[in-house]
Amino acid sequence: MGERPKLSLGHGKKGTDAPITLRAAVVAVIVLALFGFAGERALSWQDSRNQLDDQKAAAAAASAEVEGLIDISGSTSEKDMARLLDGATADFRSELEGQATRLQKLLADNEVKATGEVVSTGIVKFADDKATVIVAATGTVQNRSTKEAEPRSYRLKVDLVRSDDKWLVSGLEFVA
Amino acid sequence: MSTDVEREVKDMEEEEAREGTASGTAPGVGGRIRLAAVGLVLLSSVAAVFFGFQAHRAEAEANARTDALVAARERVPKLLSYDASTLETDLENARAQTTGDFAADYGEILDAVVKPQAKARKISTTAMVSAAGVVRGDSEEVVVLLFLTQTTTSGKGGTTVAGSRVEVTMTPVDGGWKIASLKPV
Repeated sequence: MGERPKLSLGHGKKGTDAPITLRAAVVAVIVLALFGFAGERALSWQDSRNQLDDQKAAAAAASAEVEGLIDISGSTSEKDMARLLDGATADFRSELEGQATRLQKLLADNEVKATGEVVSTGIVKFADDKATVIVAATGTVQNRSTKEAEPRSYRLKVDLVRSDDKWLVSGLEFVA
Repeated sequence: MSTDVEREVKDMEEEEAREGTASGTAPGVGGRIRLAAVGLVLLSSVAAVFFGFQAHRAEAEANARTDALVAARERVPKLLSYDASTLETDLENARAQTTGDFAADYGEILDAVVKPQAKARKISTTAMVSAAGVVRGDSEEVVVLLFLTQTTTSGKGGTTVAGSRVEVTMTPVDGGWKIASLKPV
């Protein structure tokens, strides 16, 4: 290796202000640029993490609503019904409400006992305040005419929208 | 007013003078400023590298999930479809969708079970993706949930349609994503 070029940092030159000021300016610009870059990247990272959390929350909300629908019986309480309705958007809620009473009577008359649980969820589409989630669930259904519980498997597609940091179901359909 | 300014100028001159004499000896004001500058450069560098890396990784993971979902939608039907008339090439194509241990395991099933059955009973089957979504995943591995609709015809003329739900694990291979496992849920 050859002789290293001497860095004239401060010590060499006494009493000359100009290089110090220039150097300070260069250092300041570099530091600002690095912090600026770091800040932008930190925000981007934060966005990514928030999005993952949002997706998890949307999937959890979809699961809860699906379980509320498939884990149901004639003795399902008003409270459970209310929880189901609370997980829905205004439009979907009125759709559910329109059928809730009839459904509850049907369940009670036929002594229906349905159990179910979600086995997997997948994010199909995701935007800031909108999500589509598919839900795979299994369960059993028993009624007056069946001797024992019959196994069921469900495939559902759930649309959700975010309102006030809460994910609400705006549509739910069985995938044929 | 003017006296204030004068005092300030005098202060600055004194400070400069002190700096001048201090440089080269013990760490005076200039030394401390230099130390602080070095500290700031180091700190900002570390922050830039750290957040740059984390953001890049998060972006890569998001891209991985998107790419793997697209690949799963394309590859799973190929994995589970074949026609009796083009059985050899279709099963070869099915095997080409897989990677890792699953390639060997699935290849064995194709040879031992699927091929003889399909030949003997002239079975053709087509798998269609009815819906697909990402369960979880990072740059190394992505799990995709698929709702499949399988239409099967046999030589006797019967056609059956069956719906299923599977979770497939996709892993990166040569810039693409292949099926590393498949399990019904």
